[in-house]
Amino acid sequence: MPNKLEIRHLTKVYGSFRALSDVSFTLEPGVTGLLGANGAGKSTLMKLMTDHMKRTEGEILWNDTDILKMGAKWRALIGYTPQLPGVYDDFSAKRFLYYMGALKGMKRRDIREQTDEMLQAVNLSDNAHKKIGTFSGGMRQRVLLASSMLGRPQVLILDEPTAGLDPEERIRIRNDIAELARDRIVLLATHVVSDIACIAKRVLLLRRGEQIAFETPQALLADAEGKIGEFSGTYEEIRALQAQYPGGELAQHKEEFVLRVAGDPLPEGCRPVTDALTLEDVCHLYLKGDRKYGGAEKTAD
Amino acid sequence: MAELRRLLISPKRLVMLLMIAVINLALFSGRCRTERERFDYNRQQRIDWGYEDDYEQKQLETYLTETYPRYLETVQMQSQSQSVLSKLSRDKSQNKFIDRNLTKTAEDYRRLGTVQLEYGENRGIKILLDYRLTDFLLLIAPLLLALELSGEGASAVGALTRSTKRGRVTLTAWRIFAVVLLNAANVLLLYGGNIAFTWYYFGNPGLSRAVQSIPEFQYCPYRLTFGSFFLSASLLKIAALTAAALFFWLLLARLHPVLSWGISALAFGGMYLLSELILPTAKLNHLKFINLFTALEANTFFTEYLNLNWFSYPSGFLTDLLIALTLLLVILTVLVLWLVGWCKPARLGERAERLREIAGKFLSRFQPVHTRFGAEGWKLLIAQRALLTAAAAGLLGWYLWKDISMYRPVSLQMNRIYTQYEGEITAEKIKDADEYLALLEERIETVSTQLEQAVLEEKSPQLIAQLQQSLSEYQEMHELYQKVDKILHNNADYTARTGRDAWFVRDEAYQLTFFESAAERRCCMVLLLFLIFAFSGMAAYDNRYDTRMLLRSTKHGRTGLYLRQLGWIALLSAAGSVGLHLITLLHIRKDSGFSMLHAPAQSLSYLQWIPVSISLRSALIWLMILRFLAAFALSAGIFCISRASRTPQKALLLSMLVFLLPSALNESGVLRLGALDFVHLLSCCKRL
Repeated sequence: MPNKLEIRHLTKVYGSFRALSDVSFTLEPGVTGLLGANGAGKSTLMKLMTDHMKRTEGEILWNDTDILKMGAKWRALIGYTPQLPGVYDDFSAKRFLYYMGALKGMKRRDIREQTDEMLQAVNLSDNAHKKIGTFSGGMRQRVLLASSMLGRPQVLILDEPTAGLDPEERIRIRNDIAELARDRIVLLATHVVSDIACIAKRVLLLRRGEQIAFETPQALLADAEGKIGEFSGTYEEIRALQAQYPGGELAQHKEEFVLRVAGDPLPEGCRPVTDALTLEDVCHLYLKGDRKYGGAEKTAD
Repeated sequence: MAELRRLLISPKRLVMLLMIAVINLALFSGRCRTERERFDYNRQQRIDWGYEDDYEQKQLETYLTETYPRYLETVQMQSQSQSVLSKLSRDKSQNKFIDRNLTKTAEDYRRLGTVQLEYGENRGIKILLDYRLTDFLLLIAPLLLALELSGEGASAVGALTRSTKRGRVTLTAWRIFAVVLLNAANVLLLYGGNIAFTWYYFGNPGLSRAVQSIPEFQYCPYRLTFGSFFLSASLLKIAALTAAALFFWLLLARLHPVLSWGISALAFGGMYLLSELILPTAKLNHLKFINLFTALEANTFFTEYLNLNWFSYPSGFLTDLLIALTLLLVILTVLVLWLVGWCKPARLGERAERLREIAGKFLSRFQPVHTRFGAEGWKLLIAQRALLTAAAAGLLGWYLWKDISMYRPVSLQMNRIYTQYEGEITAEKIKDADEYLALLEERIETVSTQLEQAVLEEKSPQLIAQLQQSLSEYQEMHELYQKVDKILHNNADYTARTGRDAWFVRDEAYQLTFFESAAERRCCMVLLLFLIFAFSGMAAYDNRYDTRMLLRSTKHGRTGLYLRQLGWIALLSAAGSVGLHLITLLHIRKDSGFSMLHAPAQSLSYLQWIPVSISLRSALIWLMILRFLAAFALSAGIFCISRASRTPQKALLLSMLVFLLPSALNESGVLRLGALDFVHLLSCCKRL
């Protein structure tokens, strides 16, 4: 039976601010994309999943056992890439991975073997001996990603792992994540929607701490059909429309300017987009404004 | 102006300056207390040995009225007599130099004939002349500023500032000015703080007095008052610090870091060694006196008289230094303006980078996978530089040991008597001591009578002097025997009263260990500094960048991590405590060896309160354990502050504020904060 990670009615309140409100879903092996604007509660959710902070309400169950009861056993199962501006500047990449391997309770031989393997995976083998303090943002991100994969964890919790990476690296890391997710659970939070579109089995949408949707990308795209439209015209016309639809996305096609808007029903004069809908459009539809996902069903319920 | 404000009035810089000043005050006030104890001890010694209480006053009076005027006359006379002798020398060039030097010396001192010497409080000035630690502390702030400024060159901030109209030469000029101002503030706070503290501690030194009013300035050829001496020394220090900072800045900005650190270490280390190792009269004494460290020390140029030989021409060493410093400052300023301000950022020595790269890659192959405890140790000792802190504390401890070592009174008589009576107290020993004491009293009486008669009968001065010396020797012996006899009787009474053994041991040997003294407190202050610098960054290092969040997501990243960190704290606290004890144990070994450690602890009068029979060894071990526990408790407190701080820098400042500041204020006597005296807690002696 495959592993499952169940989140039930998870709520986190900081003082009077509800960072996360009654979130419920179940993760199974494969990549689950986590999308949301800044402050949507993505990092809070991840911190609760790593038991870094106390939850206000709800449960997180690993194969029906609460992770609070599992304690260190739960942490031995997870790999986490937080959103950090840096880690130990005076450590070399290799030393940092050795250190993280030791903290994960791995055997020395495994640490040595897997460190080399992971450094290769994130393309840092040539810089393994250099101090992290000398690394660029992207390189630091890759070190963190490598550290989360050490010990081949059952659950990977990745908070914007591809931030700061160049397109080529991003594709490579994305493919690696997809490969890793074949037999383990991966929760991938990102602002780069295309990363999720390619590899995610399911997508969790959060808005201001509330769960908007937990669905397959296909279902989300299907639901968005007829709710995305375009205005086209001269620059001046489009600029005038933009004042009316401030959330609209402006683009230029040859001589013509296009304003892509989301709405149900679509505004008058707007041409519905029928083909080439993307997850970007889904985000556009749900993450701006107060719209609820029509067919969203909370799996755990 | 905005740059000056940014660099100088930033809270970070002000707090750093204040904290360095606090460290300086903590260490300097300890030195003052030690010196005061030494003055008191010497005074008591003189009184005990029959000298008058105003002996020092008379010595000074002799210097002011006889020695100094005679010295000035001697210089003039020697100038004439030795000039004749030098003409007989075979070395012509040396001959010329000696001739000219004699003439110059006579001229230099001739103008001092009318200088007015005055009595005054000299103790503070003497301490200031001897104290060098402040000079090294003075280097910290300008070097850190240079490090900060050099880091900006090739960074994004550097690119941004250089893209503006006044972001190059003008900005660099303001920064040079900021370095000078920082040094002035630094000298005012630290050196000025020392002057102010000696004033507070010993009284008004009389700033308008001529410096020649104290024997230490006998050779000074300048007409200076103490006020102008302090001002001149401060200006020399500021110039030396500015030159050091500009040199460091230039190297860091234009060379590869490996090269610049290497060259800086060589240059500063080399200059320090030259200033310390070259003899003042050596042929290459130019290197000793035209030297940043000698300039930083500054006092030598006012307390000594020396002319350097420049191609057979004598030139005063202060003049030479001033010319060299001015030239150096001008050259460095121009170079900094040109290479840092005008030229585009570039660093020489990329080959060094390649070498470092190869070495790093090669060494990385052999990098061990540490255990969790080992990894925490590496993090603390290497990444957070606690090993360097330990080395610095060790050096400071050694410096203190030398200081205390000098303080130890040595008496051969005392050694002989103590060896004779050491050990278990027997009736024979008491009888022997009583008899010898009676014999000494008899002899003192006889010699006193003989002396009185000799004086009355106006016998030969040799006989009177001989009798006086005998009397003084008998009195000294009598005093020692009285002390021994008293201890023998007291301890015998104690044994009879309580049934607990008390032997005769040399109590002086153990005083430094069991008594609270200024020297002992200074050692504890060094331990406190070590604990603060070593542990304040420990947990904050994990808080920086929220790394703790990552650590806490791992299996052993919570309690296990803390336990291992506490393990290292315990280990290093123990090492620090042992280091502190080593100083006192070495004293015990030096004074009496460890042969009496099996004696009952109650043999020392101040340990007779202990209600059970234990040996001196056990008492020492208990004291060590107590001190270790105190150090560990303090380290744990520092760790808690570190845990709550976002960055190691903040943790360091907060720890200094909480632990060092009250201790420094207590130590200096400026403010008594009783319970917050952490040095006293580390010492654990008063209770004993």
